[in-house]
Amino acid sequence: MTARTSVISISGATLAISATLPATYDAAGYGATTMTYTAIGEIENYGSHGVKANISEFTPVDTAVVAKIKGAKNYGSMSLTIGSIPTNAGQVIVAAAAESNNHYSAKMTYPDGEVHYLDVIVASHEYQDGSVNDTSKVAVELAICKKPVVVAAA
Amino acid sequence: MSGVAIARYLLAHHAGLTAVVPAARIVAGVVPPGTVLPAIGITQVSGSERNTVAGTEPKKLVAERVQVTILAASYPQQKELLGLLPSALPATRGTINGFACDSITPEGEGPDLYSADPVIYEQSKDFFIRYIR
Repeated sequence: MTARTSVISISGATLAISATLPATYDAAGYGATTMTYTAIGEIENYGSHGVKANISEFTPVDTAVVAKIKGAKNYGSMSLTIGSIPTNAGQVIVAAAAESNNHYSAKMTYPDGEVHYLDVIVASHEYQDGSVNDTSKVAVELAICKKPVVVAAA
Repeated sequence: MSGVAIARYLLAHHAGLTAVVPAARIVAGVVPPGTVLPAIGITQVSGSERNTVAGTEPKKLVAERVQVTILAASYPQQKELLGLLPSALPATRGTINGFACDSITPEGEGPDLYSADPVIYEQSKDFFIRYIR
């Protein structure tokens, strides 16, 4: 696949998870043959992921202009909405990860081939039930612990 | 289409309903003009699939709004048939005529309709039928 030169939808994007952590947190480490990723099926919403910095504000009286200072960075979390299939191999790993303190490796592949590797902790795994016409779903939050490793499409 | 097939199979195999409307006059689609009354037509109003981002899952949950239209020879007969529909199309889960039915839920009734020539007493009831495709 070739890198995008125009905007695309994310239709066709996939997310896979691995209990294995890379030897190095870079493209080579995440892409090593020893890293086995299992696709998480039935994802209907990926939410968002990326960096947010804490902004400190200081307002000196003489200028009366708010000064902003960039502080700590937080790579936030990815909130997934998933159609619940308890036997789906990827969902089995996610459910186990939610009960574990371990970090996991996630691999998101965009339709044009761009890949984002994420170091995550599965922070939540909530069953969404609702009413008669609702689909049985699971809400999963992946807390992202490091800067995503982005591998551009070829 | 499968929602119609599921509904038609259940209706045509419901003893209480077929005692009033023979299975041969419970049709998928619109009841042809000139059909002896009472008759029932089953049509699809709308349908949608549950979409995922990947779009590669082998099975999909499909939801169809299916309309069951009663064509009767009298108003009491119209209401009798309407009253039989809940038991003929109950909340259902399992294999129905080869289809993996997820659920059937009623979704409201239409108004009383009347045609003077020919005389037809008509009313519809909608159902949401979900199945795995």
